[in-house]
Amino acid sequence: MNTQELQDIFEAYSLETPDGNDFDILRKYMEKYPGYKRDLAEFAKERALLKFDLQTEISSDEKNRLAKISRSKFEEFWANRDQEITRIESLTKLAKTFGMKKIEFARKIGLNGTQLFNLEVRRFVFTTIPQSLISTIAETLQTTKDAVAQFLDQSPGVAANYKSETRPDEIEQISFSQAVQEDETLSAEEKERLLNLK
Amino acid sequence: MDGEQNKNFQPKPLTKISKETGNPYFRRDETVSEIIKTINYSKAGLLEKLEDLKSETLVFLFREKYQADYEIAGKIWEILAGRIWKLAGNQKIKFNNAADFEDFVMDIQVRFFQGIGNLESDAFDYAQASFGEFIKGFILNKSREKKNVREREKQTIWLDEETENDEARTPFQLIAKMTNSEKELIFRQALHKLPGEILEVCILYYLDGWQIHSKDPDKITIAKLYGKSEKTIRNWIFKAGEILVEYRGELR
Repeated sequence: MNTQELQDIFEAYSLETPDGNDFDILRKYMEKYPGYKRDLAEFAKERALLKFDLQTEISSDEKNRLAKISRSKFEEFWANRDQEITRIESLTKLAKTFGMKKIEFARKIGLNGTQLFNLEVRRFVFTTIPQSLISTIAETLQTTKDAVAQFLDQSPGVAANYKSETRPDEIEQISFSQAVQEDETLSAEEKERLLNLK
Repeated sequence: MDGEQNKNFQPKPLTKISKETGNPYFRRDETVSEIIKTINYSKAGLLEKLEDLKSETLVFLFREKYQADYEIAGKIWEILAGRIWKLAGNQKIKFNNAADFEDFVMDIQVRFFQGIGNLESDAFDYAQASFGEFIKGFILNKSREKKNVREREKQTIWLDEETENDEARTPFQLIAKMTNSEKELIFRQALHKLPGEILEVCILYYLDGWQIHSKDPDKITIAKLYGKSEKTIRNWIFKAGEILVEYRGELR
C-alpha cells in the first residue's frame, strides 16, 4: 500500500473530472487500479457531498474548544519551526526554479552579477547586508525572510552552480558597503543607491 | 497602499506533474486572481481579510510567504484547521469514540501543515488547486492507516419493508420532478431532519446521479458503497422522500 500513490490517483481523477463525478472515468480508474476500487468509490462519494457543501455544522462552543486544541498544535509547530524552515541551498538555483537566469535574478533584486556572486558565496558579513535587500530577495524567490537570512548567515562557501577556483576557506568576508565601493563595474549612481539601502 | 505594489506579481506555478496525464497541476483562475490581489495587502489589512479568503489562497500564503510570521501563520492555521474539522466531520462515525476521532483530525492537521510548509516538496500542490478535494482524499488515505477506524456500522436505521415499484410512489415522483436547485434547497433545509447517511444517499441519488443498484458487478452503486441491499437503499430514499416532500409543504 502506497499512500502517496493513492493520493496521486485521487488527484488525477479529480483533475480529469473538474465538473464533478463522471462514472465512465471513475470506472476507468477502478479498472486500472482494482486494489483501490473501494477507495475511489468513497472518494467519489466525498466529492459529491463536497460539491453540495454538505459539511458538518459545529456548534460555537465546540468550535471554540476545537480552535483551542488546534491553536496548541500551532504553538508546538511554531516552537519547532527552526527545524521546519526549509534550508535554501542556493539562491540562484532557487531563482532558476522560477525560470530566472542569474543575470535576470540579479536585476530583479537590484544587483549586478558580481554582487550576486558575492551573496551566493556568502562573502558579505551577514550583519552588513541591508534588511531591505533580504526582503527583496525573499519576495522575488517567494520565500521567507528567515529562510534567506538563514542562507546568508552561514560561513562562506562555493556556490554549487558557479564555476570557481576559489576554495571556501580562501573567501575573505567583507562588508556589503565595502564590496559596493570597490566594485569598479558599478556607476556612481548605482553605488549611491546600493549604499543607501536600509 | 493596497494594490499599488507588485503590479506584475504572479504566483510561482505549481510544479507537481500528474502521472496519469503528464500535465502540471495548476491553480484555478479565481485563486490566482485572489492571490494577486492579496499579495499587496498590508499586514493589518491581510489579517482582517484572512477569514474571507479561499482555502487555496490561504495555503499559498502560508507556504510561500508567511510561514515565518507568527501572527499571520497562526491565524491561517486557525482558519484552515477549522475548515479541516468541518470537512472531516462525516468521518466521525467510523471511529470508536470521539477522542480517537479528535486525535485523528489533529494528526491530519499537523501533517497537512508540515506538508504545505515543506518547500522542497510539491507533494501537497493539489491543496492549492482544490483544498476540499485534497483534504477529503488525504483523510480517506490516512484513515486507512489507522487501526482505530472501524468498518461502517452495520446498523439499520430504518427497517426494510416490502416495497414494489418504488419509482411510482409519490415522494420519488415529486422529488424527481424538482429542478436541481430546488432539490439542493430542500436538502440543505432538511440537513438536520435526516440521519447523516440517509441524507448522503439522497444527495448521491437525486443530485449526483448515482445508481441504487446494478446487475453489472463492476459498476459502483449506492447499495455497494453502503454495503446494503438494493431494497434497503430504496427504502431509505423513499422514507427520506416522504420527509422532504412534507418539509417542502411546510416551506410553502
